[in-house]
Amino acid sequence: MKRRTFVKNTLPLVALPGLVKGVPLGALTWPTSEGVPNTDGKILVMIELNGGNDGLNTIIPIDQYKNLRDVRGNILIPENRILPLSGTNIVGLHPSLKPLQALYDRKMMTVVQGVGYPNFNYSHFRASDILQTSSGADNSNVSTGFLGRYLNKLNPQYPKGYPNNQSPDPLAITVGPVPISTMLQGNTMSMGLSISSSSSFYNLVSGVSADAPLTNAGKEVNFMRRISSLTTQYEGAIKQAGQKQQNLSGKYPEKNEVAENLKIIAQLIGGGLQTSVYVTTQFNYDHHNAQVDTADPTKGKHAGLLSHLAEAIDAFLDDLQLMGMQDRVLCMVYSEFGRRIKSNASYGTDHGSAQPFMFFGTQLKSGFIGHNPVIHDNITVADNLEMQNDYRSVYTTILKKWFNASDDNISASVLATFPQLDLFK
Amino acid sequence: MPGVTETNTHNRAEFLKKLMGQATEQATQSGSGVANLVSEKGLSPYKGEWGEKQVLHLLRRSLFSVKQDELRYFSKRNLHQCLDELFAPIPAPSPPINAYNNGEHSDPHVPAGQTWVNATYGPLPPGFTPAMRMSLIDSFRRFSLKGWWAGLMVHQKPNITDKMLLFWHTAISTQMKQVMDARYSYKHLMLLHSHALGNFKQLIRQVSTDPQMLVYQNGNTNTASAPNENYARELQELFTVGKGPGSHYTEEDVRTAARVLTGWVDNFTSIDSTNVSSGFLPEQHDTGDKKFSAFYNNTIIKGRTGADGAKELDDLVNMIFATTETARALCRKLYRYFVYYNIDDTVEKNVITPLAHMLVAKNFEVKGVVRTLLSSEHFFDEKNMGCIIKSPAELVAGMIRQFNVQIPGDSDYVKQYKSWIELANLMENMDMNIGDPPSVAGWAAYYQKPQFHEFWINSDTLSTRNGVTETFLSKEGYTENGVLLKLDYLKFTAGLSNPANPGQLISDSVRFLCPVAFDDVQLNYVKKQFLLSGQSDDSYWSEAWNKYIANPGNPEALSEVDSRLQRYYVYLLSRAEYQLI
Repeated sequence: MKRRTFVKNTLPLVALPGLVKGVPLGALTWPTSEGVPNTDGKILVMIELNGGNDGLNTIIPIDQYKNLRDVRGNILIPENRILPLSGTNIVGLHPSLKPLQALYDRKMMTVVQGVGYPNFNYSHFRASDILQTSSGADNSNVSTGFLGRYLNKLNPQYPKGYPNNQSPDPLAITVGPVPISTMLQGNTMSMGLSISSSSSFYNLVSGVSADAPLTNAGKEVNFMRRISSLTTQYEGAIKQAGQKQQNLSGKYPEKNEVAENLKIIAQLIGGGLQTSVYVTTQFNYDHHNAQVDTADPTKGKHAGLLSHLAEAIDAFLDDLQLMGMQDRVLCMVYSEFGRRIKSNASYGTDHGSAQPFMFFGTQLKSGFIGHNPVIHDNITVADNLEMQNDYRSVYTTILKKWFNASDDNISASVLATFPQLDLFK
Repeated sequence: MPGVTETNTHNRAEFLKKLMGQATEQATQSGSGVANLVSEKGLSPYKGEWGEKQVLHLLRRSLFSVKQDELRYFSKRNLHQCLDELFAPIPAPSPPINAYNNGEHSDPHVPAGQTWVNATYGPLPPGFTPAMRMSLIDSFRRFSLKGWWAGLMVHQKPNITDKMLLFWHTAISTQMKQVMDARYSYKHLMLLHSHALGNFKQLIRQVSTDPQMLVYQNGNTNTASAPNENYARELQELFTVGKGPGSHYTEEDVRTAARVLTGWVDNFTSIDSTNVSSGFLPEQHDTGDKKFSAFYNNTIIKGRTGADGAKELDDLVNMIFATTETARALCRKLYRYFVYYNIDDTVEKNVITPLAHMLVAKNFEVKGVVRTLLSSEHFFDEKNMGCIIKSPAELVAGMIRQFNVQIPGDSDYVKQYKSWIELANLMENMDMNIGDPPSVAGWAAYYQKPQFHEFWINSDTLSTRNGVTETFLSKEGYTENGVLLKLDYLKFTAGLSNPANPGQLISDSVRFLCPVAFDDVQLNYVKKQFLLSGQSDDSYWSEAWNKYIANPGNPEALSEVDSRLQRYYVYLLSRAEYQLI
């Protein structure tokens, strides 16, 4: 086989961190996951809306409409276009979220209102670090992620001796571009693998199957990329899962990146990987301008992203249902922060604070946790939404109720004690 | 179209499908025969563009990677001036010392902090057998020596000598662990060091009676009554005429050369000796005439008796160096070490042959030959840039130098040696145990067709390489045996031309650390994913960086830039491109 062909057909996993001493990766073998399918383990799929999602234009508080019109009239969704939800007339969805409306009505969707933390930070960088490390606003010294600590606690020796018969599959997988989410950073290395790599990202971003340049240096680059792909110990398990399970849903939309990522995740779940955490990202939510079209606020950049998101989630859940996996998967959608109450003159919004987290799955209680954000009179550009639920309450609830984690592990992962939310049935 | 990300999702889907084994294999265009990868240029002095790219190329090949201040310094100089600096004579390093005494074991004859290179191993401490003593004390001394050597690499001046020292070790290989006396090994290394840019013929003459080589290749048991062909064979096959197409020495030549070499012994009569040396024992020498094959022009080395027997070695060296193959073989090795491993007819004709002629004309003085190679049109041809896979020594020492890692100074010599020894250990973990190559042939990366340098990279060593760089970049740094070593990527970043501009930060650091260019798509991708955390606005990074610079002590400002840079450099240093020079 020609080298070029070979490289193209090799699973692009290189983000598996190598090891220093005593654990030659090549000496490890991966057992197949055949015969030990994880039939009841719970799975968390996280979708990060990168850039800061405008919660007020996503989950729209209809009962605050008058004051909203005063401060964000240029981007506000016309009242008659808001998608209603069964059982409530005070809150509705952005019109691009039509598929989610149906999921809500089928009791497969929960919204946790006003998620945030005290002393909110408005920097993308700091805010996402705070969220991913579960460290709160006042401790910038934590570099490990909350799920990384959780997985590390369960697998203290990782990566030494991994994969093994008890744990034949990656502990966590990021689907999408590098870097692997800080969420998954363990004590010394990331607990996750990434599907996306040096050898593939060219192809991913440009759509061109480009190898390194046709030079002596390029020849050596290609040689090492090939070794790099082969090095990934979990490659066999992932390939096998991917081959075992086809996507069953016909709903996946074309040209929708988040759908492509969820499609892969569904396939890996259906294929029997024991991996318990998947993370993927939808980019470009940072709409300081042109968040909506000037002529029609139901259209524009934000609407486009939301419709991609909703269609992708709908197809993903449909796929899981057809695979019989729906009861094992919890899907969480979050952003580093919400956006400012008052819109700006460029039809956009600046960085804000509290935001709604969205959850999907069959095991949810469904409905709303918390009340609509309150939009006071005389809102200025400096005003922000109040926090109702600390994000660490969300984390605590997931670890406790979904993963059945020990209290020890929860406090090590969340780094503090927070009340649980009434999220699950 | 609103809401659609830049990524071409359709192609991405197709690509991933293929990865998952669902798509039928598509025929792909092969690049073979499209371009000629071999430079046709020769040894004429390079007169082309002299910019950062060329300076970096010269320094990467002459040094163990490049420091930021070295690039700045050499960028102000022309090629000729750069070469003058790189080839300037440097003083011999001070010898390795006892930094290994600990509560449990100590070297009874070397005070802490003093050199052991001439110190006896005896007498026995209570309860020690000679074997125990040798293995214990000598292992301390050998580690001291290897650490010291790694220290030479890491602390090298911008001078080619240390790169040449490693070259000679790959070309004239011995194994310290076979010799089991670090004093021999030190003496041997210093012989290579003193001839680093010296005379090849004299070096071979010296090596032939070097105590380490006499022990290692059994020259000391090679006698008239019981000849041992070991060194005679390797001298020709590996160290001089080699196995190139023009080499036709015979088995009889091996046996005959062994006879010439009879009588040379090291003075290892007692481990109590304090002066490692060698000598000639006339009574063990074969005094008969030695007749060589047509390859050596049927040379007859006249048998000599008494102390004069030693002079036969000079005759042998003269004979070997009279063949053109000896010069050619060395030039091929230099080419593979400094330029690229692929030597085809064009390279043989345009580079190796004239270089070998020059080596002979200069009576085997190496300095001018290496300098000519490194200042040639051929060397600076883009085709020869970035195509050498770093040896483990180049990777480890290079990383320490690039990121200016602080290693304890002489006043804390215990930690200093521990740090150096850790670096030597890391090289060993990547399959390059300096001082102990796998055999007398050295490392396969320098001689084994057709892969050569690619031998450094396999699934074990590549993950070790990436694991090492990741650990050195981690918050905790590399910690082992009380040593703490960290890559100061913040300082490195601050040393770039405009770190507040994320695009420039990425392109500057990539250019400096990787000899294979990233294109704009790749650069933008890396900038966005790592420095901007997925955002599109450069100012997010600029603000974070400026906030940090304005107040470096602010933990929040630090954390914002630190976490992003850390992940960026972990990514960059695990790229295939970073493995190249």
